[in-house]
Amino acid sequence: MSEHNKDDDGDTDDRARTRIGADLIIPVAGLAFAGYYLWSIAGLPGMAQFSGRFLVAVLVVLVVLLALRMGTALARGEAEFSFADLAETRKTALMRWGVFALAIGFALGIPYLGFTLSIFVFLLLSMLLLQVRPISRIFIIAFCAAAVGYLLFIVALGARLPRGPVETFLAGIF
Amino acid sequence: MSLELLIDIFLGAASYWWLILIATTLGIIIGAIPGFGAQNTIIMLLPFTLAVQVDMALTFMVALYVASHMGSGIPAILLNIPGTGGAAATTIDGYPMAKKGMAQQALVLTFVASTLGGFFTAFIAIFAIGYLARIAFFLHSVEMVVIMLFGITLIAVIAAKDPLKGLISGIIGLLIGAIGADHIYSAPRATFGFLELYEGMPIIPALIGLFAISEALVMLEKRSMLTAEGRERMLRAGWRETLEGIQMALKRWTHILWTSLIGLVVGAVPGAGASIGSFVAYQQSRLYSKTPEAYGTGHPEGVLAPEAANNGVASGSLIPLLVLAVPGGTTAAVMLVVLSYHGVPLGPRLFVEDPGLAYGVFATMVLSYLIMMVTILPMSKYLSRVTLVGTTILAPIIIGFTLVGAFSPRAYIFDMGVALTFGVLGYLMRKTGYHVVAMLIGIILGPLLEANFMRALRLSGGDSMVFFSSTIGNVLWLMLLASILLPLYSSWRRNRA
Amino acid sequence: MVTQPTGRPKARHTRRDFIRTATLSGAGALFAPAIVGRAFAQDTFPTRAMQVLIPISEGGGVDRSARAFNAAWGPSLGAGFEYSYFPGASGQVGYETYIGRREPDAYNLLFGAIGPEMIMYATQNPSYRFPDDFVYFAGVNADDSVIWVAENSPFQTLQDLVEEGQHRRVNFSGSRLPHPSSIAVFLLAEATGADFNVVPYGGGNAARSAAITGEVDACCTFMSSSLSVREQVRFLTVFQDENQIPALTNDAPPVNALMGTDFPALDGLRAYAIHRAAIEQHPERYQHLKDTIAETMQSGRYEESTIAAGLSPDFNVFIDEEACTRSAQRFIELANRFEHLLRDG
Repeated sequence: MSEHNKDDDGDTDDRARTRIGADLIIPVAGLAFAGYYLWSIAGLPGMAQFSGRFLVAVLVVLVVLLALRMGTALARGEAEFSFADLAETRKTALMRWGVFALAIGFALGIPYLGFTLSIFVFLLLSMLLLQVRPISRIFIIAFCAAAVGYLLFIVALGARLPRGPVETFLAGIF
Repeated sequence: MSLELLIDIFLGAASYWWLILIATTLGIIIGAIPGFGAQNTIIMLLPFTLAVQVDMALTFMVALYVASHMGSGIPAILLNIPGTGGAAATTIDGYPMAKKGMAQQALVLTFVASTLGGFFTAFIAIFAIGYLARIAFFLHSVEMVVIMLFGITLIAVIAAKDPLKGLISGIIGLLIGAIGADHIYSAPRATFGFLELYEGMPIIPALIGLFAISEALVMLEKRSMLTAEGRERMLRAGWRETLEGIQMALKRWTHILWTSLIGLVVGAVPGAGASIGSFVAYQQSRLYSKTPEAYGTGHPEGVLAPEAANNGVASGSLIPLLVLAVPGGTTAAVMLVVLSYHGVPLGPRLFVEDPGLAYGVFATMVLSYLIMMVTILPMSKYLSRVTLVGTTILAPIIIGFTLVGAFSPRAYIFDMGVALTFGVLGYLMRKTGYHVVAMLIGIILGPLLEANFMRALRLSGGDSMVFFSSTIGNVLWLMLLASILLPLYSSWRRNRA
Repeated sequence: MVTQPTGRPKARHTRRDFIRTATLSGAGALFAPAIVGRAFAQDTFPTRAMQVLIPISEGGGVDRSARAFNAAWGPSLGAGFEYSYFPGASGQVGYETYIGRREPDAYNLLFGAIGPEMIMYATQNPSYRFPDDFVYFAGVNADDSVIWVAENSPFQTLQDLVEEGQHRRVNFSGSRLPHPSSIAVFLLAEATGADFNVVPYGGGNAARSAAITGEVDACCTFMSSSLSVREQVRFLTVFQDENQIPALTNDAPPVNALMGTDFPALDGLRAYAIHRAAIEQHPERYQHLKDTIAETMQSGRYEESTIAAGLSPDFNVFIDEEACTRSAQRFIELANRFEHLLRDG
């Protein structure tokens, strides 16, 4: 590669450079997807297969290079096998994946509750979980955010967002 | 064009200053919310644009359009979330600046680059529209393949810390970009059985997942997104930082001008767009920089280049619509609907029958930039305070609103699922040293590259020599080769020295 | 009903005349909506808004056609319309959603384009069946396939293009391979032995741009969407028995008259579809839909609403269920016949 800069690429946290393990997840997932990709295009016309085959071949070469690099580092004792990069405290895990679970709930609930109510509920529950205090602050933020969203998306733009009880009720006013 | 006509056109556009003010404000807001780009908003507001007079409708759409390009840089800098694909390159240097507490300066850089670049290119467009329209006659599928490769080469250099991982991210991105119906036979590929993926991976939900959702998930580890010094600096910030940003930008005015020209040229080609323009401009800016190693760490030029370029694209992209009656992009396609509804004769006849309307588009752009310069620059000070908000409040708001943005373009709950899936993927990537921008370049540019590549092959009956069959194409190939070899050569010289 | 459609869209000029007559004679027809609305108010159907599913993006040609027609139909039908859009997979997403997830209650209708969407049906093997699961019952707007070249092209006539194709490969830009206009070129190549190559550009705008900027020799596309570029192009032929708008298309001749061929119409008929189950369970509702559409056609309101929507009434037609079904089946046959070209070049 052309560059050997020591700068931060802006996306990763500072972490020990010698841990190998967690960074195998992406290449392995990539290879699994590549395998599925090849399976899915079997039998298609040649031109429809071209890009896929080319990209999968390049990916395999790159992952092999990465594996060699990791293998060498492990063999020389410069690296250890560990998933510590993904380690998180119980509290962080609860906050992070709790909010993520609420986000899934938000996506599933929005067709029934409508945009305004569901975003209000999502913000309320998320901030409760993230221990924003005092509770009154949570209410004010969630209410304001939902109100601004309603005015901008539903009233001003007439966006095709799911409508629910709040939108139906307010339709008479605006 | 006579001076009299020019003055008339500007006076005509200026009489709608109030509408431009409203449209640019709305444009900045919707540009800043991923999923609510100009195209969607103009569709939503069709009842309005169809009801009013044509010059009013056009003024509104044009002002909204250019403002949305400017708005999309704001969340890219403040939250590492590009409002549209055109601002994805802005995150690379904009967000590191924000983390260091220099959000205000970075925002000012964006605003000055957008307004100056847009202003300059719109002005050029008024005088050179005929020539610019000719670009489309010379840049066909073969040439576009090479131009896109300029953007794709960014994948290799963007992850300076670990190029191998950067390349792996980029290739997986390209493979994800190759999901969906192939460009010749419409045969579905790797859709996991979802009809919703038949037309390819939807870019907005993928972008929202990779950037917004994953950023929000990572953010929760700390109470603030700022570094300790960054927080100190932000708390002290006042109007001085705005002035500092203006100085930083104006000192590099030539940089803004030439990167905006890249945008203008790319924009004038039907089917290209802001993402290509801004990635290519970023790549070129880095290539010719004396300090390429500073890119990615919060380098002002890394913010100026993509922002000047994506507003250059905005100036260019309406040219094919006006001169050839062929919309160059999705937003222009919606404008075509509105203009043909009003019975506007697009194409060569427009310039004979209603030159005021044709040139008025660019006069509106010029005025929009002037107005935005006044309205948005002072806002930097206040907007940048967003970075001081605690992550426990910021993260839920980001997740909630960007998920709605993921839903908005197609109104599929499925797309919210796509965003959440890419959110987890982006989270894993960030935690394990892979570059999300590299993947996004693959997802955005991959399908465009593939479409042009396949088309060129089909045109030639499968003869791969077609890629070297045009003079312009060959010149571009040489330039591409030089842009790959040049950095290798200079790093080799540095190592020897 | 005054004129019963005779079948193929061929009979269109008859209906066009009929529509024109209806408009001329129908100053009073303007007031018809209120009367008709009241007359049907006694009926229990419809008691709420119709749900129109459109398998293409909002703001596109199909959407605009639907709205233009509904503006005229609403008063006769006695109901408003609510729209939902399910674009994707050349319309398959919309059809799957309509068949699989919408109640067959005659309130739920689908508005689509028969030609392109039946080719999709034949090539993509979706989970629903035609005509067992749904039928098209009213075609209200038709667009015809055309071939045109850029204004500065050396090809003056279709014969020029064919002759050239007998010596070298001639490239056509099209929006995609499984499309009526692409099949039009396949038919022409088959009949003349010319080497015609359709290059799909993934959309009509991109296809038109490629032909205007000289990347390809000619463009195969639909007529109405080409009108915006009509001053920069020369129309060579139209794949329909008659050129509906000769004045706007440099009087391009119909292909069969020009080449002595017997090609079917390669059109995109925009039509309403309904669940087969809805027809069986609610025959009276279905009858009401058909009656009010016929009434709308007679009233002359459709032409007015089309003009009001900024569209050309020249593409307005009235095609009944039987003719729609024939048109659909013809496209299935054509798609199957050219499967080798649609699957691999």
